[in-house]
Amino acid sequence: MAAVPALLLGVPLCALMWRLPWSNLGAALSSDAATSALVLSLVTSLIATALCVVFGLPLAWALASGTGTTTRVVRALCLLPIVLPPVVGGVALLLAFGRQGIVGQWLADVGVQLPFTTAGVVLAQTFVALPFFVLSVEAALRQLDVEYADVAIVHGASPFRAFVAVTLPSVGPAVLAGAVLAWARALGEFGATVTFAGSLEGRTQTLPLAVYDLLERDPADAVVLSAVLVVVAVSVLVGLRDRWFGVFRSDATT
Amino acid sequence: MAGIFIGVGCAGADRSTVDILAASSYTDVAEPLEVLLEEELGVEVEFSFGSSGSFLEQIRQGAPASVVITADSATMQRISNAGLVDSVVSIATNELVIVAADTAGGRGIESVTDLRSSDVLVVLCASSAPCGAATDALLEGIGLDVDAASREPNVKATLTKVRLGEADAAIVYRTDALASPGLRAVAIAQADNVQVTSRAAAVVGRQDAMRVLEVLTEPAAMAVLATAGFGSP
Repeated sequence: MAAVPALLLGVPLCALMWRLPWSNLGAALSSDAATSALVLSLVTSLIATALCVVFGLPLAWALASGTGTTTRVVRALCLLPIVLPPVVGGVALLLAFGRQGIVGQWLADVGVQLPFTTAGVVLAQTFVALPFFVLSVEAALRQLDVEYADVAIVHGASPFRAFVAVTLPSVGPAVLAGAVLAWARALGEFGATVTFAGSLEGRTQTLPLAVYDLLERDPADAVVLSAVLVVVAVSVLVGLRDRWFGVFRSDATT
Repeated sequence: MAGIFIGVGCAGADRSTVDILAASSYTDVAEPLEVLLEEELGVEVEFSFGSSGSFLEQIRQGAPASVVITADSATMQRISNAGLVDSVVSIATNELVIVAADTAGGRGIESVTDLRSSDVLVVLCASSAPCGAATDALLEGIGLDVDAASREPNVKATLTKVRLGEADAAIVYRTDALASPGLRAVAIAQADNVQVTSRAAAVVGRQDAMRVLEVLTEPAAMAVLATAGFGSP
């Protein structure tokens, strides 16, 4: 029974590598569209991941320590982007931060434009990736024995210092795992990006958007770019596995 | 499980549904066309839409279509060259038009050269879509360099950005402008404009396709297409 899902995941990826047109690999990779999409994807997904960590940590901590109705409502809101089709997320972002959006019209008045900009790409990626980070960190924080932090506070540490020196190190692996999940989700983001930020080479056309565009113009080049996405993702996962804590190793207990 | 197999069996035995894969510019005219085809042929007709650029791969991968309708002739030529269709016929023409939103940037647009202004946020179709290829030809023909904020994957996505007021203007097909009464259409000078010829063809091996092609080229179908803004080929 385990073989069926393993094949379901493995066969399409093998097919992608199998169909890789080795002869025009260099040409496909050195095209302007490919290199600018690759750079744009790496830069935006890393910024989005950083934003997820910066804003996600306090949110995860608040969710883990709260119990009331507000906490439950906020947690449900956090989960929503995982369940929503990304295109719907993009529409929601437009209605909020678009030029005619409820927040966006105020932003437009002060000269800030998010749709059709690289910042809009980062916003769309952060929107879809944030829940993955918050959920994995919140789960780790919930399992944590709060007494350790309390002991530190009793011994004179400020709550912030207790969080940084005691709580954070013990949830480190979960923070890392959450950040990697969020990064992977941001890197692969398509629907919210194309809906909210559009698609323009060098500005908003990330790797997944470039693959979609190429598929209609030059399917062979689209396969090459898809393979790049797979290789980048796999190398990061492998690199992380060897370097840190063994978050993704089967024998790891986090 | 048994239910699924019975379902599949029925669909296979039921020969009376004709599937048509059509360019997204046909979205608004599909309903009257469907009624006409069903009356004339006495079969169920089912339209599905997409960007013409994606049809070649879809048919190659076995999309359940008997008839395919592309927005331009170049795209049909590629599908035909791949040996996937035969009996290609021209069924309608379309041309480009500017749609402008009722926004600060959109109100001032009177001609295609106004799209060059940095105060106007313009979105265009991607070059891989027929509307984008036609747009490229138009702009190249008049030597105009438009700084687009986005090249959207298909004509409907392009139109949507203007409809939502996120973009001030876009270049789309005349049929799309007619289907969006909330937007102002600005005509492009006839001498500069690019005309596209929409083609229909039978997917190889589909016997039920020929009758559909016949009906699509009859005056009744052309009248339906004309109400949506299509020209006669």
